[in-house]
Amino acid sequence: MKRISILDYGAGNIFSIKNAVEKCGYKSILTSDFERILKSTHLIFPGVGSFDNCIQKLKDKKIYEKLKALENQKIWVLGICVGMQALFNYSEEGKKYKGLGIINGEVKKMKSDKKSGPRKVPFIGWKNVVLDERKKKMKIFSDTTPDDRFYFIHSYECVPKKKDNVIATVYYNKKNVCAVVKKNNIFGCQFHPEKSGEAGLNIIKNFIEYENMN
Amino acid sequence: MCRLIARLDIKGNNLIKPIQLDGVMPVGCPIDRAKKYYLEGCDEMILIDSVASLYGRNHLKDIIEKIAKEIFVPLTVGGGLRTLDNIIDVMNSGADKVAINTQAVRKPDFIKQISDHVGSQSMVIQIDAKKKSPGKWEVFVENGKEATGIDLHYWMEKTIDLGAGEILLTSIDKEGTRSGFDVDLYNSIKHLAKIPLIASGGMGNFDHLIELLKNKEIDAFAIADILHVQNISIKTIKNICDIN
Repeated sequence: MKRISILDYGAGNIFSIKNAVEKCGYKSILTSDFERILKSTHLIFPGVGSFDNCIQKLKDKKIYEKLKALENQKIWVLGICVGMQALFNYSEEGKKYKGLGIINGEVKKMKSDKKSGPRKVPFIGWKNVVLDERKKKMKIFSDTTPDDRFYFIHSYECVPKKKDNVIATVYYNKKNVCAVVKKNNIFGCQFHPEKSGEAGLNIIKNFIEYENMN
Repeated sequence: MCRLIARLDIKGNNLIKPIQLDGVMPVGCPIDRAKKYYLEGCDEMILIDSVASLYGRNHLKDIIEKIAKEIFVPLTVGGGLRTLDNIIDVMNSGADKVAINTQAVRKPDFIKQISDHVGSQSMVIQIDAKKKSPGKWEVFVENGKEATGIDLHYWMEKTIDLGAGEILLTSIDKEGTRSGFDVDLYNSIKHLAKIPLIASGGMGNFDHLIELLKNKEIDAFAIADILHVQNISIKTIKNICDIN
C-alpha cells in the first residue's frame, strides 16, 4: 500500500497537490510531523513564494534540520518548484538562509533578456521539456511524450554541480534550464505537475508508482 | 507561448456573462463549464465572483472546491477579496492565485501584504480600465461601477512596485461587446509591462485575437463570451489563431 504524505508547512497550495494525487487514484495526508513522514512511502514537498519564506516556514515547523536527512531514507521524495530549489545548497534569492544541501549546486536568478533568456521574469507559461537521452526510460517519464507541455512559474533556476542529476531540461532561447533533477531517492521538478493538465498528472502518477522501499 | 485563459464570472451558483461588466444573465453551470474548458485544453482559469460584496461567499467556496477537484491548470479567484483571511480562505479552497482590484485601490499596501504572505506569483492585480481621452484610461473599482480618477499608467507602475506578479487588464469599453480587444490600450502600456500581462475583454471572432497578439508584450488573454455564449471550442481557437 502507498502511504503518501504532502509536506504541510504553510507554503504553497497543498490542496492542488492533494487533489491531483486523488485524481491519480491515491489518498494522501497533509503533515509536517517528521516521524509520520518517515513512515510514508512517498513524500511530496511543495513550495511557492520566495526561498527565504520557504526556509523560514520549515524552521518555524522545526523540520528544517530533519529534512536534511531525507537522502538515502527509504522514502521517495518529490520537491516541486521552490520545494525543489530548497533541496540545493543555496539560492541567490536566499538572503538569510541556506538550502537543505541535499543536491549539490545552487539556484540562480534568471535574467530577463529578450535574446538569451525568458522575455519576462517571473517566467510564466507552458513549455515542452527535453528528456535526457540516457534517462528517458526512467519510470518518472513513462508515457511522457515530446508534445507534453508543463506549467512553469519561476524567477530562479536550479544549477546542479553534477550534470548527471539533471534528467530533463527546458529550453529558453538557446539556453537549457534544469526542469527535473534526480539524486537517488530524491526528485525535484521546476514546473508544477499538479497544474500541468494530464501530462502533469502522469508525472505524479509515475512518481507514486515507484515501488515502496519500506 | 501565449496562454489562453477561460474567464468565468459567477453570481451565486450561476455562470454569467455581463456586457461592459454589467448584467447578470445566467449562461450555464460554472462547474460543468470549467470541466469542459479544462478538457478542451485551456491553459488557465479565472473565476470572478462578480457580486461578491453584496452576497454571501459560501457559494463561491463550494464552487472553487468543486472546480479545483476537476481541473489541473492554474486557477485564479477574484471578486470581493478584502482581507488576508479572505485570501487564505480561497487559497485553501483550491485557488492558486488571487485577483485583487477594489481593495488594492483602497489600500495599496494590501498588494504588498499579499505578495509577502503567499508570494508575488500568486498576487494578480486586476485592473478594470475605461477610456477617458486619447491615450488616457481611468481605473474603475467595484466591478466597473465606481470611477476612481486614477490614471491607468500610474496605477500599473505603482502596483508593480508593490509586488504584483501579474496584471489582468480588462477594457470596460470592450468587455462583452464582441467588438475586438482594445488594441490601443495594450499598445499604450508596452513599456510598462515588466511583469506578465493578461488582456481581457472584447473577443468576438478569431481576427480580434490575431490582431491582439501582434502586440508581443501580451503574455496571456482571457476570454468569456466566445466560450460561454458563442460556444466555440478552445481547441478551435488555438488551432486557428496558432497558439501552441
